[in-house]
Amino acid sequence: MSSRASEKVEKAARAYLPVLRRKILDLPSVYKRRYADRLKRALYLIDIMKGGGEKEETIEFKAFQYITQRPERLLEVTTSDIGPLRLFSDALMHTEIAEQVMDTIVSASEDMSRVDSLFSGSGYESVRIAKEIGAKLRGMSEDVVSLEMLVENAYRFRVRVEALQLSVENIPEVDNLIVFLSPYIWILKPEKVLTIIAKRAKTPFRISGLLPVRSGITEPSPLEPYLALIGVLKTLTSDRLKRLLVDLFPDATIDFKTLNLFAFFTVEVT
Amino acid sequence: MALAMPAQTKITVKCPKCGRVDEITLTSKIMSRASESALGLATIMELHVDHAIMVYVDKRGYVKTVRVYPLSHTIIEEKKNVIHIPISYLEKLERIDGFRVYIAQADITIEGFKEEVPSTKILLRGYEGETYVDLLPKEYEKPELKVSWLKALSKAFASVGKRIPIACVWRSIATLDAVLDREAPLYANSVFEVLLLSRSLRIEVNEEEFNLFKSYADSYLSGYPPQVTLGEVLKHRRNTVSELLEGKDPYTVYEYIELLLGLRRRGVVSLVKQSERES
Repeated sequence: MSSRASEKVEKAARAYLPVLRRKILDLPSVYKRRYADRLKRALYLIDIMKGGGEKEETIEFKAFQYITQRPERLLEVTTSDIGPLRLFSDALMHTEIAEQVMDTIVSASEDMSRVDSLFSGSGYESVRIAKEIGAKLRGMSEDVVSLEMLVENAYRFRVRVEALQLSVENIPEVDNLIVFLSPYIWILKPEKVLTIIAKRAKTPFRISGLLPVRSGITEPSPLEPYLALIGVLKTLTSDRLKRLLVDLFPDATIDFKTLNLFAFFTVEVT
Repeated sequence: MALAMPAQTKITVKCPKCGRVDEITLTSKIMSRASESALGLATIMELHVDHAIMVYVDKRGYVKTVRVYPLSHTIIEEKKNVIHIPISYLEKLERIDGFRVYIAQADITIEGFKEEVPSTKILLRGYEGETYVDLLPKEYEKPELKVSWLKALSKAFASVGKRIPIACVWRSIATLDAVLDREAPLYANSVFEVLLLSRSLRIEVNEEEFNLFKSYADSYLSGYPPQVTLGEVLKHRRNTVSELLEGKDPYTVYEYIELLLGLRRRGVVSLVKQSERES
């Protein structure tokens, strides 16, 4: 898995930061009052980072161009209505980094009989993985439209799927391969989801995830202003995420890689 | 092919709903169906007044499971406001021998049967409130799949309301015929809602979303049959869904509705209801 694919996402996120700043400042005052904390945080992060750069006609760039257009739609995202993040997630799951992550997961998971796709956005990545390893799929999400997208993708790839609408607090016992790659997880706060999985996962299981991280406490990533708008005011550092995995899964074999903006990890308990 | 003799030639089955006990003779035809089926199971249906039991028997004659399904009346009641679909249309159906739709809000029945239905024939039923769809399938295999589609269609009829053009009802039945043996997706009612409203839903393309979507559209569309294209949808922007579907076979119609719903979920298209005057 190359860090070049992650750099593409980083360049795209960075390129639209000046546009995002302008759009935030142009928001109607009702949004500025209602979401003052998030907007203040997003502007602070944009101002301490180097934004801009040449724009390209790739999926990554178009995805960030799309979510930059109307920041009010990001502010209105909730766990049961992820709005513009549906298309954003679906698009991002068609990029090089997602393809590489999917290939890596597939090559290490051929023994799995079920994929548990937790809060997966459009579910494209989980469907593809389930298809490749010949497993059944169980999709869980609060957002009904996302679940419909998962079912639709499963239909296109001829994967057997069970879709469950539920909140993160109510996830059932999970086992086999548990994946979370899509930006939907970003809203739910990864540490919260991982803590719940640690309680509900049934041995043997394998968790594969791709999560946004910053490389150090004082080094924010260009994803963070976007995350601040959807309500994520704290992004884990790579080290903190690694420690969290070790604490939550003390008996597991953990494989952890940092790829610029993201950490890709596999937790295996046999 | 010589068939293995079943371990037993008669079975007794107790209905999980009403408790009635049926004695069923395992004929060579039933055993042959079990041997030839991919799952190694034959289904036997027994009628119990307002419901039926479906008995699944393996090729050795053992009962694997018994399921209960609600049924419509076996004898058709005399109803007012009945619209009959001509037999010439029904002959095009491959999996359906007849159907009856009752739309409660309009107090109207729309039905069509390839031949006069004897009182012993049973119809599968799906319902939503007082609205229901009865179906006389050609084959009773996988009734649970068929009933889930009927439930979805009933839900669509109940939500769409009174004024549904007969052409749209017919298009829904023809589409149902094409997908009847598949598993119904959780949004199957939305498929039928779009079909029932197809003459009054206008396709609007949202530019910002489309600009992003087209960057991965080729990959997205690779799962669709080749006759289903984004270009065809774009050609019909600002037209009605009905105009997009015109002249297409029921299977392709279903795939286009899947595509439209997929695009709507991503915000790429909006299906805007036109006023009656506009439509």
